[in-house]
Amino acid sequence: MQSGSMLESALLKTHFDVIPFGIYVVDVVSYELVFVNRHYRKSLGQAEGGICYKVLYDNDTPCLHCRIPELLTEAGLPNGQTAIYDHYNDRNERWAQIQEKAMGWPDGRVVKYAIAVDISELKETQNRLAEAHAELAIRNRELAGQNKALTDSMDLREHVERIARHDLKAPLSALIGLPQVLLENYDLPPQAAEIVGLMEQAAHSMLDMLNQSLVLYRLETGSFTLTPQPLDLLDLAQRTCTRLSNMPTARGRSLLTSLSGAPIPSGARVDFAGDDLLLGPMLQNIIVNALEASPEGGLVSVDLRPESDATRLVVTNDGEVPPEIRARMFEKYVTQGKRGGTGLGAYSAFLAAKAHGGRIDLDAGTPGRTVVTVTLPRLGGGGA
Amino acid sequence: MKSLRILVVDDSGLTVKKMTKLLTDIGHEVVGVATTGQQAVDIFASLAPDLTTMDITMPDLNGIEATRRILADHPQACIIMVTSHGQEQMVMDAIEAGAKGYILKPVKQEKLAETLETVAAKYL
Repeated sequence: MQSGSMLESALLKTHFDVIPFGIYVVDVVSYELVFVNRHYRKSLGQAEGGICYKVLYDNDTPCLHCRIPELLTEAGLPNGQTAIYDHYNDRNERWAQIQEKAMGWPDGRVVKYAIAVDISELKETQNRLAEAHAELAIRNRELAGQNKALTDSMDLREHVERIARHDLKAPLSALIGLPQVLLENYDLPPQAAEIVGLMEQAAHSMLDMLNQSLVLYRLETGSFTLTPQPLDLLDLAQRTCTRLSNMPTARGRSLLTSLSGAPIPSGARVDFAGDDLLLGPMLQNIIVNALEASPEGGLVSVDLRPESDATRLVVTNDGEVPPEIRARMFEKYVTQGKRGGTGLGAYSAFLAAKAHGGRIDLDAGTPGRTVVTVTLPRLGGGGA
Repeated sequence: MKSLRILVVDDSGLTVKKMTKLLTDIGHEVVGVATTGQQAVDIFASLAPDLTTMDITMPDLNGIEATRRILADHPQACIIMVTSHGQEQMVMDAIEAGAKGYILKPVKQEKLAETLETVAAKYL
Protein backbone atom coordinates (compact mmCIF):
# COMPACT_ATOMS: atom_id res chain seq x y z
CA MET A 1 0.00 0.00 0.00
CA GLN A 2 2.78 2.33 1.03
CA SER A 3 4.74 1.52 -2.12
CA GLY A 4 1.60 2.02 -4.28
CA SER A 5 1.06 5.46 -2.80
CA MET A 6 4.69 6.41 -3.37
CA LEU A 7 4.50 5.21 -6.97
CA GLU A 8 1.33 7.21 -7.55
CA SER A 9 2.96 10.27 -6.00
CA ALA A 10 6.06 9.85 -8.14
CA LEU A 11 3.94 9.54 -11.25
CA LEU A 12 2.03 12.74 -10.44
CA LYS A 13 5.25 14.61 -9.75
CA THR A 14 6.71 13.41 -13.05
CA HIS A 15 3.60 14.62 -14.89
CA PHE A 16 3.78 18.01 -13.16
CA ASP A 17 7.52 18.29 -13.81
CA VAL A 18 7.20 18.05 -17.59
CA ILE A 19 4.62 20.83 -17.77
CA PRO A 20 6.39 24.05 -18.83
CA PHE A 21 4.53 26.28 -16.32
CA GLY A 22 4.97 26.75 -12.59
CA ILE A 23 2.95 24.24 -10.55
CA TYR A 24 2.77 23.94 -6.80
CA VAL A 25 0.76 21.73 -4.50
CA VAL A 26 -0.36 22.92 -1.06
CA ASP A 27 -1.90 21.09 1.91
CA VAL A 28 -5.28 22.84 2.32
CA VAL A 29 -5.14 22.56 6.11
CA SER A 30 -1.53 23.38 7.01
CA TYR A 31 -0.62 25.47 3.90
CA GLU A 32 2.54 23.35 3.60
CA LEU A 33 4.05 23.24 0.14
CA VAL A 34 3.79 19.54 -0.66
CA PHE A 35 5.34 19.78 -4.09
CA VAL A 36 6.85 22.37 -6.45
CA ASN A 37 7.49 21.36 -10.05
CA ARG A 38 10.76 21.71 -11.93
CA HIS A 39 9.72 24.99 -13.59
CA TYR A 40 9.01 26.68 -10.24
CA ARG A 41 12.04 25.15 -8.50
CA LYS A 42 14.24 27.17 -10.87
CA SER A 43 13.03 30.41 -9.29
CA LEU A 44 11.97 29.27 -5.79
CA GLY A 45 14.70 26.75 -5.03
CA GLN A 46 13.92 23.82 -2.76
CA ALA A 47 10.60 25.19 -1.40
CA GLU A 48 8.87 21.95 -0.42
CA GLY A 49 8.06 21.77 3.26
CA GLY A 50 7.75 25.58 3.54
CA ILE A 51 4.53 27.50 4.09
CA CYS A 52 3.04 28.65 0.79
CA TYR A 53 2.18 32.23 1.72
CA LYS A 54 5.63 32.78 3.24
CA VAL A 55 7.61 31.15 0.44
CA LEU A 56 5.60 32.43 -2.52
CA TYR A 57 4.49 35.87 -1.31
CA ASP A 58 6.63 36.66 1.74
CA ASN A 59 3.46 37.08 3.86
CA ASP A 60 3.15 36.23 7.52
CA THR A 61 -0.51 35.24 7.26
CA PRO A 62 -2.57 33.43 4.60
CA CYS A 63 -3.04 35.62 1.51
CA LEU A 64 -6.17 37.74 1.12
CA HIS A 65 -6.61 36.31 -2.35
CA CYS A 66 -6.36 32.67 -1.16
CA ARG A 67 -9.02 30.59 -2.97
CA ILE A 68 -8.75 27.36 -0.95
CA PRO A 69 -12.19 27.83 0.70
CA GLU A 70 -13.77 28.00 -2.79
CA LEU A 71 -12.31 24.63 -3.75
CA LEU A 72 -13.62 22.55 -0.83
CA THR A 73 -16.90 21.14 0.36
CA GLU A 74 -18.10 21.94 3.88
CA ALA A 75 -16.49 18.66 4.94
CA GLY A 76 -13.15 19.90 3.61
CA LEU A 77 -13.09 17.59 0.58
CA PRO A 78 -12.42 18.62 -3.06
CA ASN A 79 -15.61 20.07 -4.59
CA GLY A 80 -14.46 19.71 -8.22
CA GLN A 81 -14.49 23.49 -8.83
CA THR A 82 -11.62 25.23 -10.63
CA ALA A 83 -10.67 28.78 -9.64
CA ILE A 84 -9.08 30.88 -12.37
CA TYR A 85 -7.76 34.38 -11.69
CA ASP A 86 -5.01 36.82 -12.57
CA HIS A 87 -2.62 37.67 -9.78
CA TYR A 88 0.22 40.11 -9.29
CA ASN A 89 3.06 38.85 -7.14
CA ASP A 90 4.81 41.66 -5.26
CA ARG A 91 7.72 39.33 -4.57
CA ASN A 92 8.86 38.87 -8.17
CA GLU A 93 6.81 41.72 -9.67
CA ARG A 94 5.26 39.36 -12.20
CA TRP A 95 1.66 38.76 -13.26
CA ALA A 96 0.34 35.20 -13.44
CA GLN A 97 -2.92 33.64 -14.49
CA ILE A 98 -3.54 31.01 -11.84
CA GLN A 99 -5.74 27.91 -12.15
CA GLU A 100 -6.40 26.10 -8.90
CA LYS A 101 -8.24 22.89 -8.01
CA ALA A 102 -8.40 20.67 -4.93
CA MET A 103 -7.59 16.97 -5.14
CA GLY A 104 -6.62 14.00 -2.97
CA TRP A 105 -2.85 13.56 -2.73
CA PRO A 106 -1.55 9.95 -2.78
CA ASP A 107 -0.49 10.20 0.89
CA GLY A 108 -4.15 10.81 1.86
CA ARG A 109 -4.00 14.58 2.37
CA VAL A 110 -6.36 16.99 0.63
CA VAL A 111 -4.31 19.44 -1.40
CA LYS A 112 -4.83 22.13 -3.95
CA TYR A 113 -2.67 22.29 -7.02
CA ALA A 114 -2.05 25.60 -8.72
CA ILE A 115 -0.83 26.11 -12.27
CA ALA A 116 0.61 29.59 -12.77
CA VAL A 117 1.14 30.91 -16.27
CA ASP A 118 3.23 34.08 -16.53
CA ILE A 119 1.15 36.74 -18.30
CA SER A 120 3.27 39.78 -17.45
CA GLU A 121 3.72 40.86 -21.09
CA LEU A 122 0.00 40.62 -21.79
CA LYS A 123 -0.79 42.49 -18.58
CA GLU A 124 1.62 45.26 -19.48
CA THR A 125 -0.59 46.25 -22.42
CA GLN A 126 -3.84 45.77 -20.49
CA ASN A 127 -2.55 47.84 -17.59
CA ARG A 128 -1.46 50.75 -19.77
CA LEU A 129 -4.94 50.71 -21.27
CA ALA A 130 -6.53 50.67 -17.81
CA GLU A 131 -4.31 53.60 -16.73
CA ALA A 132 -5.35 55.56 -19.81
CA HIS A 133 -8.96 54.75 -19.01
CA ALA A 134 -8.46 56.00 -15.44
CA GLU A 135 -6.82 59.20 -16.69
CA LEU A 136 -9.77 59.83 -18.98
CA ALA A 137 -12.21 59.25 -16.12
CA ILE A 138 -10.25 61.71 -13.94
CA ARG A 139 -10.29 64.34 -16.70
CA ASN A 140 -14.02 63.82 -17.19
CA ARG A 141 -14.56 64.37 -13.50
CA GLU A 142 -12.49 67.56 -13.60
CA LEU A 143 -14.42 68.75 -16.65
CA ALA A 144 -17.71 68.03 -14.90
CA GLY A 145 -16.43 70.11 -11.97
CA GLN A 146 -15.55 73.01 -14.27
CA ASN A 147 -18.95 72.77 -15.97
CA LYS A 148 -20.67 72.91 -12.62
CA ALA A 149 -18.63 75.93 -11.57
CA LEU A 150 -19.58 77.62 -14.85
CA THR A 151 -23.26 76.80 -14.41
CA ASP A 152 -23.19 78.04 -10.81
CA SER A 153 -21.53 81.25 -11.97
CA MET A 154 -24.15 81.75 -14.69
CA ASP A 155 -26.93 81.08 -12.19
CA LEU A 156 -25.40 83.63 -9.84
CA ARG A 157 -25.09 86.18 -12.65
CA GLU A 158 -28.73 85.65 -13.64
CA HIS A 159 -29.77 85.95 -10.03
CA VAL A 160 -27.91 89.24 -9.68
CA GLU A 161 -29.35 90.51 -12.96
CA ARG A 162 -32.84 89.57 -11.85
CA ILE A 163 -32.39 91.45 -8.60
CA ALA A 164 -30.94 94.43 -10.48
CA ARG A 165 -33.90 94.50 -12.87
CA HIS A 166 -36.31 94.32 -9.97
CA ASP A 167 -34.49 96.97 -7.94
CA LEU A 168 -34.29 99.31 -10.92
CA LYS A 169 -38.04 99.49 -11.11
CA ALA A 170 -38.42 101.53 -7.92
CA PRO A 171 -36.26 104.53 -8.94
CA LEU A 172 -37.69 104.27 -12.43
CA SER A 173 -41.20 104.80 -11.08
CA ALA A 174 -40.03 108.14 -9.71
CA LEU A 175 -38.50 109.06 -13.07
CA ILE A 176 -41.81 108.30 -14.75
CA GLY A 177 -43.96 110.12 -12.20
CA LEU A 178 -41.90 113.25 -11.57
CA PRO A 179 -42.07 114.68 -15.13
CA GLN A 180 -45.87 114.62 -14.81
CA VAL A 181 -45.61 116.54 -11.53
CA LEU A 182 -43.37 119.10 -13.23
CA LEU A 183 -45.66 119.46 -16.24
CA GLU A 184 -48.85 119.77 -14.20
CA ASN A 185 -47.66 121.98 -11.35
CA TYR A 186 -45.09 124.30 -12.84
CA ASP A 187 -45.49 126.69 -15.68
CA LEU A 188 -42.59 125.46 -17.74
CA PRO A 189 -41.47 127.23 -20.88
CA PRO A 190 -42.51 125.21 -23.98
CA GLN A 191 -38.95 124.11 -24.74
CA ALA A 192 -38.42 122.87 -21.17
CA ALA A 193 -41.83 121.13 -21.20
CA GLU A 194 -40.80 119.33 -24.38
CA ILE A 195 -37.56 118.16 -22.78
CA VAL A 196 -39.42 116.98 -19.67
CA GLY A 197 -41.83 115.12 -21.96
CA LEU A 198 -38.90 113.39 -23.65
CA MET A 199 -37.53 112.42 -20.24
CA GLU A 200 -40.86 110.83 -19.33
CA GLN A 201 -40.94 108.99 -22.66
CA ALA A 202 -37.40 107.71 -22.12
CA ALA A 203 -38.30 106.47 -18.64
CA HIS A 204 -41.33 104.64 -20.06
CA SER A 205 -39.10 103.02 -22.70
CA MET A 206 -36.70 101.94 -20.01
CA LEU A 207 -39.53 100.41 -17.98
CA ASP A 208 -40.75 98.57 -21.10
CA MET A 209 -37.25 97.21 -21.69
CA LEU A 210 -36.98 96.02 -18.09
CA ASN A 211 -40.36 94.31 -18.28
CA GLN A 212 -39.40 92.71 -21.58
CA SER A 213 -36.12 91.45 -20.24
CA LEU A 214 -37.90 89.91 -17.23
CA VAL A 215 -40.38 88.21 -19.55
CA LEU A 216 -37.56 87.05 -21.83
CA TYR A 217 -35.81 85.53 -18.86
CA ARG A 218 -38.96 83.69 -17.84
CA LEU A 219 -39.54 82.46 -21.40
CA GLU A 220 -35.99 81.17 -21.69
CA THR A 221 -36.06 79.38 -18.37
CA GLY A 222 -39.49 77.88 -19.02
CA SER A 223 -40.98 79.62 -15.97
CA PHE A 224 -43.46 81.66 -18.04
CA THR A 225 -47.11 80.62 -17.95
CA LEU A 226 -49.28 82.17 -20.64
CA THR A 227 -52.39 83.84 -19.29
CA PRO A 228 -54.35 84.80 -22.43
CA GLN A 229 -56.43 87.99 -22.23
CA PRO A 230 -58.78 89.28 -24.95
CA LEU A 231 -57.07 91.92 -27.07
CA ASP A 232 -57.37 93.55 -30.47
CA LEU A 233 -54.35 92.54 -32.54
CA LEU A 234 -55.16 95.05 -35.26
CA ASP A 235 -55.19 97.90 -32.76
CA LEU A 236 -51.92 96.67 -31.29
CA ALA A 237 -50.31 96.52 -34.75
CA GLN A 238 -51.57 99.99 -35.71
CA ARG A 239 -50.42 101.58 -32.46
CA THR A 240 -47.02 99.95 -32.81
CA CYS A 241 -46.65 101.15 -36.40
CA THR A 242 -47.73 104.69 -35.50
CA ARG A 243 -45.19 104.86 -32.69
CA LEU A 244 -42.39 103.43 -34.81
CA SER A 245 -43.07 105.64 -37.82
CA ASN A 246 -41.87 108.60 -35.71
CA MET A 247 -38.61 106.89 -34.83
CA PRO A 248 -35.34 107.82 -36.54
CA THR A 249 -35.10 104.24 -37.88
CA ALA A 250 -38.21 104.84 -39.98
CA ARG A 251 -36.94 108.01 -41.59
CA GLY A 252 -36.94 107.78 -45.39
CA ARG A 253 -39.02 104.59 -45.29
CA SER A 254 -42.77 104.02 -45.59
CA LEU A 255 -44.64 101.92 -43.08
CA LEU A 256 -48.02 100.59 -44.22
CA THR A 257 -50.55 98.55 -42.24
CA SER A 258 -53.29 96.52 -43.92
CA LEU A 259 -55.92 93.89 -43.14
CA SER A 260 -55.78 90.80 -45.34
CA GLY A 261 -53.98 92.79 -48.02
CA ALA A 262 -56.56 95.61 -48.15
CA PRO A 263 -56.83 99.03 -46.49
CA ILE A 264 -58.17 98.82 -42.94
CA PRO A 265 -61.89 99.69 -42.71
CA SER A 266 -62.92 102.04 -39.93
CA GLY A 267 -63.85 100.21 -36.71
CA ALA A 268 -62.25 96.91 -37.82
CA ARG A 269 -60.90 94.61 -35.11
CA VAL A 270 -58.94 91.36 -34.96
CA ASP A 271 -59.84 89.79 -31.66
CA PHE A 272 -57.32 87.47 -30.19
CA ALA A 273 -56.62 85.84 -26.83
CA GLY A 274 -53.01 86.44 -25.90
CA ASP A 275 -50.55 88.31 -23.72
CA ASP A 276 -49.98 91.89 -24.87
CA LEU A 277 -46.80 92.11 -22.77
CA LEU A 278 -45.36 89.53 -25.16
CA LEU A 279 -47.16 90.41 -28.36
CA GLY A 280 -46.45 94.17 -28.21
CA PRO A 281 -42.66 93.77 -28.00
CA MET A 282 -42.84 90.94 -30.55
CA LEU A 283 -44.53 93.21 -33.10
CA GLN A 284 -42.14 96.02 -32.31
CA ASN A 285 -39.05 93.82 -32.73
CA ILE A 286 -40.17 92.38 -36.05
CA ILE A 287 -41.16 95.76 -37.48
CA VAL A 288 -37.99 97.51 -36.21
CA ASN A 289 -35.91 94.74 -37.82
CA ALA A 290 -37.81 95.23 -41.08
CA LEU A 291 -37.28 99.02 -40.98
CA GLU A 292 -33.57 98.61 -40.26
CA ALA A 293 -33.17 96.08 -43.06
CA SER A 294 -35.12 98.14 -45.55
CA PRO A 295 -33.12 100.40 -47.89
CA GLU A 296 -33.66 104.19 -47.92
CA GLY A 297 -36.95 104.91 -49.73
CA GLY A 298 -38.17 101.34 -49.19
CA LEU A 299 -41.57 100.15 -48.04
CA VAL A 300 -42.31 98.06 -44.97
CA SER A 301 -45.78 96.54 -45.03
CA VAL A 302 -47.52 95.01 -42.02
CA ASP A 303 -50.47 92.88 -43.06
CA LEU A 304 -52.72 91.17 -40.53
CA ARG A 305 -54.55 88.10 -41.84
CA PRO A 306 -57.20 86.57 -39.56
CA GLU A 307 -57.89 83.07 -40.84
CA SER A 308 -59.97 80.16 -39.58
CA ASP A 309 -57.15 78.30 -37.81
CA ALA A 310 -54.81 81.14 -36.95
CA THR A 311 -54.04 84.81 -37.31
CA ARG A 312 -51.03 85.59 -39.45
CA LEU A 313 -48.94 88.71 -39.30
CA VAL A 314 -46.96 89.19 -42.48
CA VAL A 315 -44.19 91.81 -42.41
CA THR A 316 -42.49 92.51 -45.73
CA ASN A 317 -39.55 94.77 -46.51
CA ASP A 318 -37.34 95.52 -49.51
CA GLY A 319 -34.10 94.44 -47.86
CA GLU A 320 -32.30 91.13 -47.85
CA VAL A 321 -31.17 89.00 -44.93
CA PRO A 322 -27.48 87.98 -45.40
CA PRO A 323 -27.47 84.36 -46.66
CA GLU A 324 -25.12 83.18 -43.91
CA ILE A 325 -27.57 83.99 -41.11
CA ARG A 326 -30.88 83.04 -42.76
CA ALA A 327 -31.02 79.53 -41.28
CA ARG A 328 -30.22 80.89 -37.80
CA MET A 329 -32.25 84.09 -38.03
CA PHE A 330 -34.28 83.44 -34.86
CA GLU A 331 -31.49 82.01 -32.73
CA LYS A 332 -30.05 83.92 -29.78
CA TYR A 333 -27.35 86.53 -30.50
CA VAL A 334 -27.58 86.13 -34.28
CA THR A 335 -27.09 89.52 -35.90
CA GLN A 336 -25.04 90.91 -38.74
CA GLY A 337 -24.26 94.34 -40.07
CA LYS A 338 -26.47 96.25 -37.62
CA ARG A 339 -24.83 98.88 -35.50
CA GLY A 340 -25.67 98.12 -31.87
CA GLY A 341 -27.50 94.93 -32.80
CA THR A 342 -27.69 92.44 -29.93
CA GLY A 343 -29.25 89.56 -31.80
CA LEU A 344 -32.00 89.41 -29.18
CA GLY A 345 -34.92 91.08 -31.02
CA ALA A 346 -35.75 88.29 -33.48
CA TYR A 347 -34.96 85.70 -30.81
CA SER A 348 -37.36 87.21 -28.26
CA ALA A 349 -40.03 87.52 -31.02
CA PHE A 350 -39.55 83.81 -31.71
CA LEU A 351 -39.95 83.01 -27.99
CA ALA A 352 -43.08 85.17 -27.76
CA ALA A 353 -44.70 83.42 -30.76
CA LYS A 354 -43.70 80.05 -29.34
CA ALA A 355 -45.25 80.93 -25.97
CA HIS A 356 -48.56 81.41 -27.84
CA GLY A 357 -48.18 78.02 -29.52
CA GLY A 358 -47.20 79.79 -32.73
CA ARG A 359 -44.20 80.11 -34.99
CA ILE A 360 -42.16 82.55 -37.04
CA ASP A 361 -41.00 81.85 -40.58
CA LEU A 362 -38.56 83.71 -42.78
CA ASP A 363 -38.97 83.81 -46.54
CA ALA A 364 -35.87 85.26 -48.18
CA GLY A 365 -36.31 83.40 -51.45
CA THR A 366 -37.11 86.45 -53.59
CA PRO A 367 -34.16 88.77 -54.26
CA GLY A 368 -34.76 92.26 -52.87
CA ARG A 369 -37.57 91.12 -50.60
CA THR A 370 -37.81 89.65 -47.12
CA VAL A 371 -41.03 88.28 -45.62
CA VAL A 372 -41.42 87.40 -41.96
CA THR A 373 -44.65 85.59 -41.09
CA VAL A 374 -45.84 85.12 -37.54
CA THR A 375 -48.51 82.45 -37.18
CA LEU A 376 -50.55 82.66 -33.99
CA PRO A 377 -53.06 79.81 -33.59
CA ARG A 378 -56.43 80.66 -32.11
CA LEU A 379 -56.46 80.04 -28.39
CA GLY A 380 -60.21 80.68 -27.98
CA GLY A 381 -60.52 84.36 -28.86
CA GLY A 382 -63.22 85.87 -31.10
CA GLY A 383 -63.19 86.29 -34.91
CA ALA A 384 -62.37 89.26 -37.08
CA MET B 1 9.19 69.72 -8.72
CA LYS B 2 9.32 70.28 -4.97
CA SER B 3 9.81 67.35 -2.62
CA LEU B 4 6.51 65.90 -1.38
CA ARG B 5 5.72 64.39 2.02
CA ILE B 6 4.11 61.06 1.18
CA LEU B 7 2.09 58.45 3.08
CA VAL B 8 2.38 54.94 1.60
CA VAL B 9 -0.57 52.62 2.21
CA ASP B 10 -0.10 48.94 1.30
CA ASP B 11 -0.44 45.68 3.18
CA SER B 12 2.53 44.15 1.38
CA GLY B 13 5.79 44.79 3.15
CA LEU B 14 7.61 44.22 -0.14
CA THR B 15 5.57 46.86 -1.95
CA VAL B 16 6.08 49.34 0.89
CA LYS B 17 9.84 48.82 0.64
CA LYS B 18 9.82 49.20 -3.14
CA MET B 19 7.57 52.25 -3.09
CA THR B 20 9.71 53.88 -0.41
CA LYS B 21 12.80 53.34 -2.51
CA LEU B 22 11.17 54.57 -5.71
CA LEU B 23 9.76 57.68 -4.02
CA THR B 24 13.01 58.49 -2.27
CA ASP B 25 14.97 58.03 -5.48
CA ILE B 26 12.85 60.64 -7.22
CA GLY B 27 13.29 63.13 -4.42
CA HIS B 28 10.29 62.68 -2.14
CA GLU B 29 10.01 61.83 1.54
CA VAL B 30 7.93 58.94 2.89
CA VAL B 31 6.57 60.35 6.15
CA GLY B 32 4.43 57.38 7.10
CA VAL B 33 3.30 53.87 6.24
CA ALA B 34 -0.06 52.22 6.82
CA THR B 35 -0.67 48.54 6.17
CA THR B 36 -4.47 48.63 6.35
CA GLY B 37 -7.12 51.06 5.13
CA GLN B 38 -8.28 51.77 8.65
CA GLN B 39 -4.75 52.54 9.78
CA ALA B 40 -4.44 55.02 6.92
CA VAL B 41 -7.67 56.76 7.99
CA ASP B 42 -6.47 56.83 11.60
CA ILE B 43 -3.04 58.35 10.99
CA PHE B 44 -3.87 60.66 8.10
CA ALA B 45 -4.78 63.73 10.19
CA SER B 46 -1.67 63.59 12.35
CA LEU B 47 0.69 63.11 9.38
CA ALA B 48 -1.03 65.60 7.05
CA PRO B 49 0.90 64.28 4.03
CA ASP B 50 1.04 66.19 0.74
CA LEU B 51 0.12 63.01 -1.09
CA THR B 52 -0.93 59.43 -0.34
CA THR B 53 -0.32 56.30 -2.43
CA MET B 54 -3.13 53.82 -1.75
CA ASP B 55 -3.40 50.09 -2.44
CA ILE B 56 -6.91 48.70 -2.94
CA THR B 57 -6.98 45.18 -1.52
CA MET B 58 -6.12 45.39 2.16
CA PRO B 59 -7.38 43.77 5.34
CA ASP B 60 -10.13 45.43 7.44
CA LEU B 61 -10.84 48.38 5.10
CA ASN B 62 -10.13 48.45 1.38
CA GLY B 63 -8.33 51.35 -0.30
CA ILE B 64 -11.42 52.70 -2.06
CA GLU B 65 -13.39 53.00 1.16
CA ALA B 66 -10.34 54.42 2.97
CA THR B 67 -9.99 57.04 0.20
CA ARG B 68 -13.67 57.94 0.55
CA ARG B 69 -13.36 58.33 4.33
CA ILE B 70 -10.16 60.37 4.21
CA LEU B 71 -11.64 62.72 1.61
CA ALA B 72 -14.82 63.13 3.62
CA ASP B 73 -12.77 64.65 6.45
CA HIS B 74 -9.99 66.17 4.33
CA PRO B 75 -11.45 67.23 0.96
CA GLN B 76 -8.10 68.62 -0.18
CA ALA B 77 -6.30 65.28 0.36
CA CYS B 78 -4.38 64.14 -2.69
CA ILE B 79 -4.65 60.36 -3.07
CA ILE B 80 -3.43 58.21 -5.95
CA MET B 81 -4.21 54.54 -6.27
CA VAL B 82 -1.25 52.16 -6.68
CA THR B 83 -2.82 48.79 -7.22
CA SER B 84 -2.88 45.55 -9.17
CA HIS B 85 -6.58 45.98 -10.02
CA GLY B 86 -7.15 47.17 -13.58
CA GLN B 87 -10.78 46.11 -14.00
CA GLU B 88 -12.99 48.91 -15.34
CA GLN B 89 -15.43 48.86 -12.42
CA MET B 90 -12.61 49.02 -9.88
CA VAL B 91 -11.05 51.96 -11.73
CA MET B 92 -14.38 53.80 -11.87
CA ASP B 93 -15.09 53.13 -8.18
CA ALA B 94 -11.69 54.53 -7.22
CA ILE B 95 -12.10 57.65 -9.37
CA GLU B 96 -15.63 58.13 -8.06
CA ALA B 97 -14.24 57.85 -4.51
CA GLY B 98 -11.97 60.79 -5.36
CA ALA B 99 -8.61 59.30 -6.43
CA LYS B 100 -6.51 61.84 -8.35
CA GLY B 101 -4.37 59.26 -10.12
CA TYR B 102 -4.24 55.53 -10.87
CA ILE B 103 -1.08 53.48 -11.32
CA LEU B 104 -0.98 49.75 -11.91
CA LYS B 105 1.67 47.42 -10.52
CA PRO B 106 4.45 46.80 -11.24
CA VAL B 107 5.19 50.48 -10.66
CA LYS B 108 7.67 51.99 -13.07
CA GLN B 109 9.74 54.88 -11.77
CA GLU B 110 9.05 57.10 -14.81
CA LYS B 111 5.29 56.51 -14.60
CA LEU B 112 5.29 57.25 -10.85
CA ALA B 113 7.30 60.45 -11.31
CA GLU B 114 5.09 61.61 -14.18
CA THR B 115 1.87 60.95 -12.23
CA LEU B 116 3.14 62.74 -9.12
CA GLU B 117 4.20 65.71 -11.20
CA THR B 118 0.83 65.95 -12.94
CA VAL B 119 -1.13 65.58 -9.72
CA ALA B 120 1.09 68.07 -7.87
CA ALA B 121 0.76 70.63 -10.67
CA LYS B 122 -3.03 70.35 -10.61
CA TYR B 123 -3.83 70.00 -6.94
CA LEU B 124 -0.89 71.02 -4.74
